Amino acid sequence: MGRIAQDFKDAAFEDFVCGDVFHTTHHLDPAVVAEYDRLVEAPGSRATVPPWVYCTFLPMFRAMDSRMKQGSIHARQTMTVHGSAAVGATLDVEVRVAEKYERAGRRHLVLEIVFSDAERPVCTSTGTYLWGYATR
Amino acid sequence: MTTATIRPTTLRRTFTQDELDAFGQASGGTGHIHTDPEYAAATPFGRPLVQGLFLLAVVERAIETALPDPAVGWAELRVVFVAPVGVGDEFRVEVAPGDAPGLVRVEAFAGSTTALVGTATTREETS
Repeated sequence: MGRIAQDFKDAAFEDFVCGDVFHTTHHLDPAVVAEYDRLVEAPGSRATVPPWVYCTFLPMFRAMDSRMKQGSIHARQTMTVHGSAAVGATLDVEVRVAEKYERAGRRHLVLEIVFSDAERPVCTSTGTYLWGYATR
Repeated sequence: MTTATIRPTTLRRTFTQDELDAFGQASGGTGHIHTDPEYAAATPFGRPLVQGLFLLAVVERAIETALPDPAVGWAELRVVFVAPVGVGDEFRVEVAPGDAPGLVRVEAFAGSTTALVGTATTREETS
């Protein structure tokens, strides 16, 4: 179903346990960095990569080997930059289930993701998602 | 921490379905609510919604523009998504100095509706 193939299976809300941690790596491919700059209408030719390029769904889904239920949407996002990430670097990605709760009948999932290069964390991203909110 | 110069900045975008598809392919945000107009039409929103991370990327770009000193970047960004932004909506980001040194105020709108509010703090680049 859908116009674009989905690379990850849908997870169930019950699959997530607070404190669970998932890992992967994420390569900051120069071509992907250039595509982001095109889409965001930013000047190209970067030496370092802004968080908007890597604080994305792919490293999250790859780490969890699943995606959030279709129709899940963003409610909040906090990002803290600790250092610069270089174009071409490969970042370690640690995804932690920080919180899950139900409020006003809506399920919320909070995921904290720490991106690190070989030496140190470069960014911590915390996203709150409304689980399966925009569904048919 | 420097007292950064923060230049009031307004950035406007109107997203197309092709752009949502391309962002989905680049980011993994290919969910049907973003990339499948038929699916989205059957939801309460009635049309595809722009990925929150796409909106956030545009907000980050606006903040980058508002900080003209290349030695200063942002250290922390906090946003709340208040209302969705759909394909064809004009998304307008307004960045302005906050009420404390190094604080950046962010508001974004879909037409006349507040879509996103947030703050950022600045930092000196150390590397």
